[in-house]
Amino acid sequence: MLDALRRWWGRYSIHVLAALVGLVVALGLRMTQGVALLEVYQFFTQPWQWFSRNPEPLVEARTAELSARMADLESQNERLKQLLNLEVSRSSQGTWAMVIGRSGEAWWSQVVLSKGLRDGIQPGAIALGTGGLVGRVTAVSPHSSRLLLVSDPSSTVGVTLSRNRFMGILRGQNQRSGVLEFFERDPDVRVGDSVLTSPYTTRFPPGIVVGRVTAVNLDKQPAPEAVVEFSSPLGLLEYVYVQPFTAKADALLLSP
Amino acid sequence: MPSFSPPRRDRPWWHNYVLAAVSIFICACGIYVHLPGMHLMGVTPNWLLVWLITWSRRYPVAIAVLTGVSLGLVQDAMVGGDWLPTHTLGLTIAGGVTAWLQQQNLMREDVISIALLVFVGAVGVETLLGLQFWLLGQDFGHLWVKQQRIALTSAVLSSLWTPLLYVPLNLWWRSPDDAPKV
Repeated sequence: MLDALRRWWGRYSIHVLAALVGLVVALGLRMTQGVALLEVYQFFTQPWQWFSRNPEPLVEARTAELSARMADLESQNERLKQLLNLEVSRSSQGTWAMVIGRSGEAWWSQVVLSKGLRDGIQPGAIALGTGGLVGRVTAVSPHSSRLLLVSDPSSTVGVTLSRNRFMGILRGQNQRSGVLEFFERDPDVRVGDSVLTSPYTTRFPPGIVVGRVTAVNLDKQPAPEAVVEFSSPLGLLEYVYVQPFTAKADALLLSP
Repeated sequence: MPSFSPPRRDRPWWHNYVLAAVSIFICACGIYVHLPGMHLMGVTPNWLLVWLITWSRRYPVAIAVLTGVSLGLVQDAMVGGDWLPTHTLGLTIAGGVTAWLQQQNLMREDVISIALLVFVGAVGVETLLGLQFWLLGQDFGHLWVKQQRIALTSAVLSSLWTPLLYVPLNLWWRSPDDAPKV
C-alpha cells in the first residue's frame, strides 16, 4: 500500500506540485476578482475594439429616456415650488468607455469596459447609457473595469415612481426587465409609470431614469410587485458614460 | 478519430504547463468574446469545462480534482462578486468523474465520446449553479425557466465546439508518462 503510494508519488509528484501552483494562482485570481485577466484581455482585444455595431434602436431609447426625464423634472418642479430648500447636486465629471466584452454566462449579466483606474474609474462608479441607468462598476484594473448591469439578479437599485414618489427596490431578472418590490402595502402604480433611482438609495445618485412599468401585481406577498422594463437596451450597449460616485453612508438611508 | 503523436522525449517537462497556462487564459477570455456562431441567447460555450475534460483524461483523479477546483476559481474570478455561488463545485466533479472514467477504461477516446461527456458536464455545471442560486434565496419559478434555457444552450454549444479545443490540445499534450494510455 505504502509502496504503491510512493510509486504513485514518484511518478506524479511534479504534476501534483504543478497542480498546487495552479491552485494558488487561481486562488490569487479569485481573490483579486480576476483583474489581472481583465487587464490582459483588454490589452489583447485592443485591435478589435473599434469595430462598430448597430446604433439604430439607441435613438429610440434616447427619446424614451428624455421623455421620462422630462416627466420627472415636471413633477419635481412642482414639488420644488412648494419646498424651497431642496438641495440638488449632480456631478458630471465622468468619462465615456467602450464595452469590449460581455459575460457569456447567462447567470450573470456583466460587461467589460475599456477604461479603468488610469482614467479615474473607481469601484462603485455608476454607468449611464443611452436610455438611462446601466449599472455599477464592481472591479477595476488599470485599463479596464467590470460593470454589473442593472439586469443582474444580484443587482438591487432603490427606485421611486416619478409620478407619485412611491418607493421600492428593483432587482434584475433578465436582460430586458427587472422586478420592483414596493415598500408600501398599497402603492398607486400603473402600467407606463416611469421609474427613477430614489433619493434614498446609497449606491446611485437620485433621479436617474431606470425604466418603465410594464406589469403590476398588487396581490403579491409579502410586498406588491411590478415588472419594470429597462429603458436602456442592455443587449446593445456599445458605449457607456461612467460617472464617479461614492456610496453614501448616512444612517437614515436604506440600503441598497 | 485523432491520432496520437508518438512519444517524444525532446519536449521539455514544462511543455504541458506552458501550453496549459496559455490555453486556460484563452478559454477564460472566451467567456467575454461573442463571435458569430459561438453564442446563443447570451450564452457562450463553457470553454473551461471542455479544457478540463480534455486535460483530466490524462491525469489521475486527485490531480484532475485539484485542476477542477483551480479552474472553478478562475471562472469565478471572471464573474467576480461573492464567493457563492461558485463554479468549483461543478468543475471539480466534472474533472474527477472524467479522470475516474478514464481510469476504469469506461471511456472511448474519440471526439464523440468527449463531446458527450462535455454535454453531460455542462448540464451538470449549470444545474449546480442554479441550485446554489436557489439555496441563496432566488425565486424558484424564475430560476427553473432560466436554468433549463441556460443548461441546454450551454451544453449544446459546448459540445458542438468541443473539437476546436480538444483536437489540437490532444495532439500537442504529452501524457504524464510520455505515452498515451490505451
